[in-house]
Amino acid sequence: MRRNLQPGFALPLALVLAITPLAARAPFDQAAAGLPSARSIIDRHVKEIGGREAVLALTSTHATGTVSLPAAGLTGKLEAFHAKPNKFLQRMTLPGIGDIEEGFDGTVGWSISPLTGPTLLDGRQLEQRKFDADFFEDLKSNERYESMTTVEKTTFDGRSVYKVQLVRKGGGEDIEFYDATTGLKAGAITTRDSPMGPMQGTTSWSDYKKFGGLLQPVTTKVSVMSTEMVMAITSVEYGKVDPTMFAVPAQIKALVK
Amino acid sequence: MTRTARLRTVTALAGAAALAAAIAAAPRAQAQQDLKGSETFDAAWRIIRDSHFDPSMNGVDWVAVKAELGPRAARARTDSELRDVIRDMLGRLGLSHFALIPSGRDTSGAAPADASGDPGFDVRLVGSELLVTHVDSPSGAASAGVRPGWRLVSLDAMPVFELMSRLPDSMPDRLRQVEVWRMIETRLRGPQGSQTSLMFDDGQRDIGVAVERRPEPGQPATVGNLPTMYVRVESEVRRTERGATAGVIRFNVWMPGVDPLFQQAIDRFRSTNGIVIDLRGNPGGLAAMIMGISGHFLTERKPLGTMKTRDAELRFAANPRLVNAAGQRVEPYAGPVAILVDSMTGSASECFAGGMQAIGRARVFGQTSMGQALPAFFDKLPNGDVLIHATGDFVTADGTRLEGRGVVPDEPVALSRADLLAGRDGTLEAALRWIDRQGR
Repeated sequence: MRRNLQPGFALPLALVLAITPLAARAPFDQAAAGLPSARSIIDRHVKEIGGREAVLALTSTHATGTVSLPAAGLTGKLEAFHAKPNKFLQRMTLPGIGDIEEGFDGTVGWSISPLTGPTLLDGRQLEQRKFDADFFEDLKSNERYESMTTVEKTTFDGRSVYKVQLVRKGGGEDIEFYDATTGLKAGAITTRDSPMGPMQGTTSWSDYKKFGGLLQPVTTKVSVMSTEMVMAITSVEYGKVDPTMFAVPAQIKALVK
Repeated sequence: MTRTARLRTVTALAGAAALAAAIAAAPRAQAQQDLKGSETFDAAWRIIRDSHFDPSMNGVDWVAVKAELGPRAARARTDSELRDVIRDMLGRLGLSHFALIPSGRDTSGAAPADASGDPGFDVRLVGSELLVTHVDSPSGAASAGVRPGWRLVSLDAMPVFELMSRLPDSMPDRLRQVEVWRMIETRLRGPQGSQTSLMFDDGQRDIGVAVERRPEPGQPATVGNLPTMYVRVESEVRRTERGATAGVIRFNVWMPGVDPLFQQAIDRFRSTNGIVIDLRGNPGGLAAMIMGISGHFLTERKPLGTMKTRDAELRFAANPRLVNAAGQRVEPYAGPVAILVDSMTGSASECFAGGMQAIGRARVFGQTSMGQALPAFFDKLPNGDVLIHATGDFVTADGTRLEGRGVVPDEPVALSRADLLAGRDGTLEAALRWIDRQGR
């Protein structure tokens, strides 16, 4: 589908669409008896947020909002820029701490924190950053995964959900939860490498609201190490991100050999 | 949903509860909250039950603790009574970094309602004597002529020995050092511009002085529920006896405001024969910062230690600092590094000093540190108080657990009244002599 809009990507996507019905049987897209396939669950989510075509029509997003650690009494500003195919910059401005920035320009993954200084990502962290930076991540393109499996119907964050296991190409797996009633993605359990080692986090998304033509979750809650972080989006702008926004900062450039 | 929904986590904040010493003396919000006794007690009990790094709760029957103390919390009629009950509960764990920061005036102690001013000197317990170890200049203490080595005899007519006698004889020496400091610091503080009447023994006679409290110097930093702290970073070049040079960097708390000033100091000291990091009196702060500061001295992402939580083990690995303040590529400082510690060096400072010592990148001088090195979080309770609670245990790269032990210096240097009176800093001098011997 991406291919129809972006000639450079037409062939791989066409192949994916062609093979999906076959792969849905085994081993790629599996589901326990009586459960919908993972592909259909994901596709329903995409449909509910506005549809594949509307998603694929996007070129960039700029979201603003707040980030807080309620228990610690910490609230700051949040700004996130994304552009296709896989560029992003995210900045959290926290009182008493300063700006914590993370970015990926398609090649270089980095972070700058007033706590630890500038860091150039490499190895698995860079691979994961590249994977996570995919602009159309919500479409869950089959080419990015070894398999997708509907594990069970269960409860997450007080909601009846389908639990989907996603095995990433290149290693690692994510668990995602999709609301059985609304079809919208409700949460995820993910493990990512960090400078401190692997970290597992549980994320929940709620309060979906339309920004432009697409539904976006206003509230994102991330639970890591018994601490909850809440991010709330107040605005989303589409297609107006200056590409220079993703340029690697000077502090990081100096780290690139 | 596209990309906006997949926002990333902020680096986990690890607060240092040894900051309670500094925190106890910092300005506090005056908002009076509803008592909410049972609700507050239950919240504190539950937070610890769910996040303590040791599911066995250090061998304490946590359910029984609630059964015993919960009814007392419900019966509490004042904030002070409630806090006493919660502190009793925290004390049962027998670990550092379980503390309560009152939202308003803490009537259970001697903390003044306005503690924003201090007289400008520091003290340590040496044997049974409370000695002045440092006098800031300018400060009220400096103006009043207070000198290092003087023994504090009384404070606003309260004899120091009487204050110290309130502590149980069974209290371990290291903890006594911290508690005495906390008691005195709490009483020395008060409104800016106010005076405290102090009696000292200068080695020959008693001297009474009235010392005016000044606004605390430094760059204010407020992180979430933690009270405002004041960041101070000082640096200077010292000559050793043999004419070598050493950059000396002191900072009082691990807060982000330290990082750029530390970076600037490192840039100035790149060609010196050694660097001394003075962490005496530094009670800790944001633990993640040890990864950034240690990176100025390491070319690889070497772990200084590991934080073991209930669910995970997180490495505190150095982040090599390969860029200077001007954005140019540099190599981390490769010369000898000395770290100075004393009985009031705590938490993140201990993780840093112990970690650098464990990997052989620094030599530690001074007195054994606090032994309060548990990474912690801070949560607001229903009554507005803030609960500091350890969520991890810190073990250095060579397997040394610092909690209850402290960082043991490679070169112990006892605090000596004679040295202090003579204006000598024995710990710094030992470090400079060591740098001399390295012959860089």
